[in-house]
Amino acid sequence: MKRARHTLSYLGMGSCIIIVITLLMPSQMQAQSARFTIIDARDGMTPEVVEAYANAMGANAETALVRSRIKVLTSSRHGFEAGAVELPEHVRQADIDVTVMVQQESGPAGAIDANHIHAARTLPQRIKQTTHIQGH
Amino acid sequence: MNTIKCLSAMALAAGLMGSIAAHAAPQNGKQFKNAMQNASQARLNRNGSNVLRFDADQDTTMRNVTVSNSALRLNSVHVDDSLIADLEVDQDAKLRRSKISNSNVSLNSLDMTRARSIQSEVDQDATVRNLTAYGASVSANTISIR
Repeated sequence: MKRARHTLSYLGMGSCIIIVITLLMPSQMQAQSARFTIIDARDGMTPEVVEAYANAMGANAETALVRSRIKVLTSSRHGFEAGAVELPEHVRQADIDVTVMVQQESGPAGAIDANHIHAARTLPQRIKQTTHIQGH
Repeated sequence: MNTIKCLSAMALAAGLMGSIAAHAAPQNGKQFKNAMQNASQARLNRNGSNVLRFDADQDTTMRNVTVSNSALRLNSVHVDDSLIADLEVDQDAKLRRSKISNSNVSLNSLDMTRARSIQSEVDQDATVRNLTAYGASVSANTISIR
């Protein structure tokens, strides 16, 4: 038994592409699932990109456990300076995986600030962060 | 100001030093202090309870990246003005096949300012491979308690 769901949404005039892919493959022997968000930031940090990244990180999470898998595609010229994301007070555990894939371009490079959490109002019990920055 | 701040893999820049000043690696104590104040806007309300457990696990890998005139931080935990009963920090930073010039690089850092931890466990692991560096300073596995 296999089920796959792909959701593709476009925000703005092509400046931002957010793809949420959910794969569910349950079986009697084993179950595997994967869900991640792809953010296309090659046109820079547009408001749509900023909002999509914050949502994917868990800025508007309603549950106590936040589990985020984010892949960002950007160019070296624009970079990806997303800054700190404030987690809601009720978040007790955060498990966030961010992969930034950088397309090398000529000229000055932009800053990258990814997987940056600001948790101050209340103290989460556990934070797990995984970050990959990879040039191509 | 009570603040817990966790950040990972930040500030890779060239030619945009002004825009990353708030997150830049400290050039001196004053600049670092200002950066912390700018970044800390919320408050931690312990509600009279001092029994807190904080567990941070950070894993960052950077490869095939050219860095110049930049401040680079991979895996960083800041604890500001807090009382924690059980603090556990596990940081693993890998820097591979990269070129760095005129930059400050920090791998794995734990900074506690006006903070207390009754029991702490810190595990830091930094790996650097095939790095070409020119005019760069690299620090790894630093713990600062002030």
